[in-house]
Amino acid sequence: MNWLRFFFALALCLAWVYFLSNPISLGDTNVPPPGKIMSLNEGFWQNSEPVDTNEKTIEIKVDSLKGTVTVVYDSLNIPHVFAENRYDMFFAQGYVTARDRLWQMDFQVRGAAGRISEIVGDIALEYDRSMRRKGLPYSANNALQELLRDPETREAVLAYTSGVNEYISELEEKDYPVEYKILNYEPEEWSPLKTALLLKMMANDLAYRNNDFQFTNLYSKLGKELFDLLYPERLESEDPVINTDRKWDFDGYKYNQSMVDSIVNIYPENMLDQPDKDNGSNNWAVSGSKTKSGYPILANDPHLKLRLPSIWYMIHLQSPGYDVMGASLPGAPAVISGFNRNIAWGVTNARRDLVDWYSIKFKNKERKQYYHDGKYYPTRSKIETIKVKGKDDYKDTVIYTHHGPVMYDDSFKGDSSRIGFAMKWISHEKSNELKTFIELNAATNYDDYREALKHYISPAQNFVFASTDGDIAMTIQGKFPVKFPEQGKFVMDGTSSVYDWSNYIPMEHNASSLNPERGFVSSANQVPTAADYPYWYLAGDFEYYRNRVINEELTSMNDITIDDMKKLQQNNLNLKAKEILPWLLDTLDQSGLNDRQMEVYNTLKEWNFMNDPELVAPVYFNVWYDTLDDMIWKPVKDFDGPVQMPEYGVISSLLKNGTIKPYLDTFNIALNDSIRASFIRSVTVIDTLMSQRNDSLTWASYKDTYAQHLVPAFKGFNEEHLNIGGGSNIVNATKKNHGPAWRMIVSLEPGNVEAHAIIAGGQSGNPGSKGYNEYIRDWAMGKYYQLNFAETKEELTGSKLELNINQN
Amino acid sequence: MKTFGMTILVGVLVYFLHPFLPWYSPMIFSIIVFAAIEMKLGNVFAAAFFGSVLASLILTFQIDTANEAILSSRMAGIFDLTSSIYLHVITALIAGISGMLGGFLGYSFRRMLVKRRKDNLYYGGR
Repeated sequence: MNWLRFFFALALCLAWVYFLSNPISLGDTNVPPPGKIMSLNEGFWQNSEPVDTNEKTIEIKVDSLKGTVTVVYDSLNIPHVFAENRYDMFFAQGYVTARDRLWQMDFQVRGAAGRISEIVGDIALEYDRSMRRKGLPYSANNALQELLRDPETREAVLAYTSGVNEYISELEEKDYPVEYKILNYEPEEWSPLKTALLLKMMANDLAYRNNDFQFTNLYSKLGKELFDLLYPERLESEDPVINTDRKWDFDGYKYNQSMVDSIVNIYPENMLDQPDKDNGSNNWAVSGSKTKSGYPILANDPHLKLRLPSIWYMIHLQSPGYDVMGASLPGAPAVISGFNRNIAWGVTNARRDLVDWYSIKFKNKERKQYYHDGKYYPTRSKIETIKVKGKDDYKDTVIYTHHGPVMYDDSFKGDSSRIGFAMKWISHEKSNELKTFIELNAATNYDDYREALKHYISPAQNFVFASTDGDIAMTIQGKFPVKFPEQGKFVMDGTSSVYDWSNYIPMEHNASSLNPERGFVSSANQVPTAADYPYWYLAGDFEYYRNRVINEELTSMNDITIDDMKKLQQNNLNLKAKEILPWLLDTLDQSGLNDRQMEVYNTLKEWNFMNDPELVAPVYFNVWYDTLDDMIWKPVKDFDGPVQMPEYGVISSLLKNGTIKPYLDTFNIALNDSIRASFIRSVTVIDTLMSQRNDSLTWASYKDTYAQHLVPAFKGFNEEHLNIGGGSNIVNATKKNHGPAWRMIVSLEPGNVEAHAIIAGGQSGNPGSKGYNEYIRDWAMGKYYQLNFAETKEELTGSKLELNINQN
Repeated sequence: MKTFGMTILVGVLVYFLHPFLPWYSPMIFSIIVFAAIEMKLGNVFAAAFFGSVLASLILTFQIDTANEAILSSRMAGIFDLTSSIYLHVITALIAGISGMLGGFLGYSFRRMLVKRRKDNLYYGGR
């Protein structure tokens, strides 16, 4: 009997240990091993960082260092790296970035490589396939070759990689970031390829968006006349990145006319989602002639998805000949947007159309040959093996042509075994963007800046520049194909070489401006140049409002201070509303409107067009405009196949000028009736919203901005209900889950460079740390921190922690 | 009194050693303690369970207080729990049940050995 009881007890113990040591599957939800995740040793409790830590100095011994490095974390938790040579500096950058952001780095690059299914199972299989079919790993491998070929970038990525791996090697299971524990997987070694993948992921976010299928379908459905009316290549009152008085001292290569002779309306059955249209930024620099100090001031605020851990990581890197501070991307060495003792620079997305699609005719179902210029050429197949958690590996065959990978075919979103769609994307080309940033980090003047940009290919960016020498400049930098009009606007015939990319715009012909007479340079993702630029490019998604507000403000401002620049970055003027609302209100037939409707009308009439957080008028406008938009464009939205709505700027112009009539007539839309009906309907919607919120409806509560954790299902790690104004097409471009996650302003007085900045989040990637989100409420309130650009570690008073990294 | 003493002993072991050992370590402590020390099964259950639970609760509250409940409240959100208190309770229950099962095993092991000793002719049998 006692034996029996013993074995029963033993069985119970073993079953308990087994049950709680393994994940539990509850339908679609996988619960991490309960024993481990709740454990005081291996579980999440270990990630609860004490808020008050006494840790002041940590000694770290490593094998691969050339000298000694000291890293001092200042009162803002920004690491200042003081190294004796560049290798050690990048080693330390890798080490401290991994210390704060290891899981984020790892997860982002697994995303870029199409390896998320390894972690979460087949729910991510389509995403992983899309990354592989887009050729992100392929383009990262191309970039890797260049990174390792150049001695400067080779040293940087190898040092950075060693630093990350040194940190990983020190970890025990209990030290793993909490996301590893919840998702039940382990960190793996960093590699230079992962840095390349990260940079290509940025290219995906910033330079993948295209409208080729949409335009092809719309052209077919609307006909040329209506299509050209609704989707014009240029808008009225455009204010390009490069000042319009810039004269071009080269001929360029401008074709006279389109060589697109026919447009065949073909598109894949389904399509992947596009990156956010508002992935963009603001940047500007004002010359000393317009500032109170007499020295240039530069500002930059990139707009991306509001993420936690924050997309950006602030750092100061110092070694002989290198002393730079600013925002870095966790996973890549160097500073991406920042300043040194002599210059400052920033970036905005150039938004040029650099993705083109070709319809490919395969010889047969085998897809081993495709037709081009009267002959069959062999394809190249790459079998992508995707590991799937809890299931067998998934194998996906991706066909490559001379254009690029065939993303859509009968095995992926397509419906024909003999027609595929190949993608030509500038980001597939060999490039070394990191070299640009390393050289910018160490640049001392305008010539250095221009030299650094020569290496930069993709994603095309507007690089703003200012220096203590008094120069300000803007360069639209990237590698751009020479195109004839409309080349790449529609899906192109892949059987003809007429539509192939053949030549590239010489980099010295890229549009740029140095010290323009108006005393400032600026960019906000708008059209790059006036129409006289000697090369044709497709004006697709260019922004139309932010840039005009910025330029109008900068034109009128004098004796500019850093505080003025802060106010401009947070300018909430809704120019879209300012341009269309008065017309809408005048056109609205007010007869028979009830008291409540008149109250809304009067609120809109008295509105100052500012999207301030506490106002309700922006909500009224937004709801009304969206309702009207749905009514007017319903016929287009209802088309079969991919569609794209006309730009707001076009709509505004068409409505006010009355030139929208051919469209309205074609689809029997009574505009005045739609305006009135949409207004009445919008008031009903607004009142419902108000009743849900106990009458406390404001723009901030309606917009309800939040920063989302990288794993959307981890809602507990989000930071929600941020009280902030702004919005889409507004200089303060803060939408619901998108916005200026890095704001920086730098005054360039020689010997006294002063920088103010903030990130939307915190320096730590650990949700169990106070540093995870410590800046985000200040960010929402429009606060900045003055950065301590210390020349020595002794200047960093009030520092929190010091790491001394020494050779073993 | 003995049960109280054993509860304290298990609690002390859990408090000082559990944070450095695998999640099922309260089971190991209880196996050892209750294989070595004779007690009634009910008292073994009580001492192993409450000793592990109390020590675990003290530990989690200490960690959580130092962290100002930043992580526990976020984790509660991840697991759709309305309060982070549940995480303390779950952690304590896992430790408690582990301890209790370990106590049962230790007790059974001891009973098995003790019976053999009593059956030995040297001790005169029953």
